[in-house]
Amino acid sequence: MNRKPNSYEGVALVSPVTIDYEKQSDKQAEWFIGRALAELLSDSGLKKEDVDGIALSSFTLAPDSAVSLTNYFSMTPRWLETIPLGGASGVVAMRRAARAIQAGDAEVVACIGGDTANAESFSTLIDNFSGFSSNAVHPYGAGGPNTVFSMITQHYMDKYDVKREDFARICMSQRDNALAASRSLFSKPLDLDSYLNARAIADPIYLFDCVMPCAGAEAFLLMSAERARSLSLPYVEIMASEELYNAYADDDIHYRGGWAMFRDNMYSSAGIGPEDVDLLHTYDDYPAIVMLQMEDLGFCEKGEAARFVQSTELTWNGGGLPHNTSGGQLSAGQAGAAGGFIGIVECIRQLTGQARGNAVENADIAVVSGYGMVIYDRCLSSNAAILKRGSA
Amino acid sequence: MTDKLLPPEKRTAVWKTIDHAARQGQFVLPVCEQCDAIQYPPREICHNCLHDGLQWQEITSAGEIIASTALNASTSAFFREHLPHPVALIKLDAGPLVYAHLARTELKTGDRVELVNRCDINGRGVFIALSAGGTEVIQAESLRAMLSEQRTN
Repeated sequence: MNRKPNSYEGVALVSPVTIDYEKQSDKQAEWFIGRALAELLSDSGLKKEDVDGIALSSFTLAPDSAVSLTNYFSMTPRWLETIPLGGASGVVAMRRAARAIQAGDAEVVACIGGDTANAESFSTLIDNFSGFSSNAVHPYGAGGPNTVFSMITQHYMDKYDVKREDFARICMSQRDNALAASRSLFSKPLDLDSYLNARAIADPIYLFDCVMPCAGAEAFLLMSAERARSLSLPYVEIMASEELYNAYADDDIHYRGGWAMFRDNMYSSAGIGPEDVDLLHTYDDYPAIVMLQMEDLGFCEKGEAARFVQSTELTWNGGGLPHNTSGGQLSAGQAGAAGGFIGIVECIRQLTGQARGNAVENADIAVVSGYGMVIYDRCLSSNAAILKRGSA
Repeated sequence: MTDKLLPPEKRTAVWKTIDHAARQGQFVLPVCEQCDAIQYPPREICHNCLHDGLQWQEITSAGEIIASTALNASTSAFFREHLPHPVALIKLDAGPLVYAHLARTELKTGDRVELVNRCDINGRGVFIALSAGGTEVIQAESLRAMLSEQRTN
């Protein structure tokens, strides 16, 4: 892969917004999305009329979509995007919106991932996630993504000599991060015994390897860096970003993702390497998938993530590689499509000095990665972005 | 009608041939008449050459377990009554990767298996992995429950 995208220069990400997660909610997806929109305006000082683009991801908004919201919220945007890519949605929303800003198709784009959650919404979602999964995976025990990822995890553990204790390093550090960020649905630290003795979901996946489905929203604004400066908004710039679909399709089982195909391009576009990165936010649907990203994004050699997480502090203040400092989905919760936005929102917070109780010292450069859409036996979307603190 | 819990039965139309073949005890998959690519999951357009002429054919169902698990959680009330439920991802010698029920929990990664296409209680064709040779008794309790008392519709 040698083709590189054009530069994302001149685009700014501002106003990181999180609408507090709730385990279950009687409210509609529109409430979480609308609250996020209101918070974006309040943070940026912009008026609703200033937002002329919307990029939206939501599972529970159906049968409505982004266009429905223009009526609901009485807006007349000239640019609209619905991104149905689950955990890959945030980076994709950012990329699409950045191009719209550069091309002049929009001046201010609200990027929002938001969902509600109730007793039925999660099982309805995973039972009907795709045609292939509802026909060729669901009948085999109706295990949802746990069926697929238990097998990917088992294979990864066998291939690279990975133990549950290695996954525990990721899950426990993210719990510490979540508690520091005071935005967790969990109130207690996770210790090794609790992790190891949790109930089996689909061996080798146990309770704390799984995300907790919940309701909530994550959002940010894109505009030109010039506009951000004129509004005196602290901002983040995109040094490089890539996306890829159905990478390594000939692998019998998933053990590497598209990140490995595009990472050389991405770092070369940014003019930096993994050693220059101050914090990393991976898509953490399961800890084995976090390890794939650490390897494929170049933070350690292929197959070495277990040793890497054992020898590297992953907490926000551990002095190693701060990882999923928000707590990620494993410890903050998975608010549907907001799970695809949680990483970017946290990176904007960290790089603009807006972290809450979990500020990484001297954070100038972050890598955020996305992963989504388990259509049959693996997720098909992988992407990443290198973000840096905007120059004042 | 019955109050008895049933396994999932919703399938798209292209799967009906698998249901029918299950009643004949056949393992069939769509094969492209232009490039011979075997398709799974079943579809209407060849994944390789995009030709729309696919013919259902009997396929050699031998393969190897790539990975397996015992599910301890399920969104289906039927399976929740029969946990843990053993399933596996199988690489067929013919090429495709197929999820299947395991006849025995003891079957593990690397084991040679043979898939059979059986009618479940809903009349849907489901794939079950047996030890190579294909003559063993199905031991998994969840599987016996889903294969028994087939409905006639």
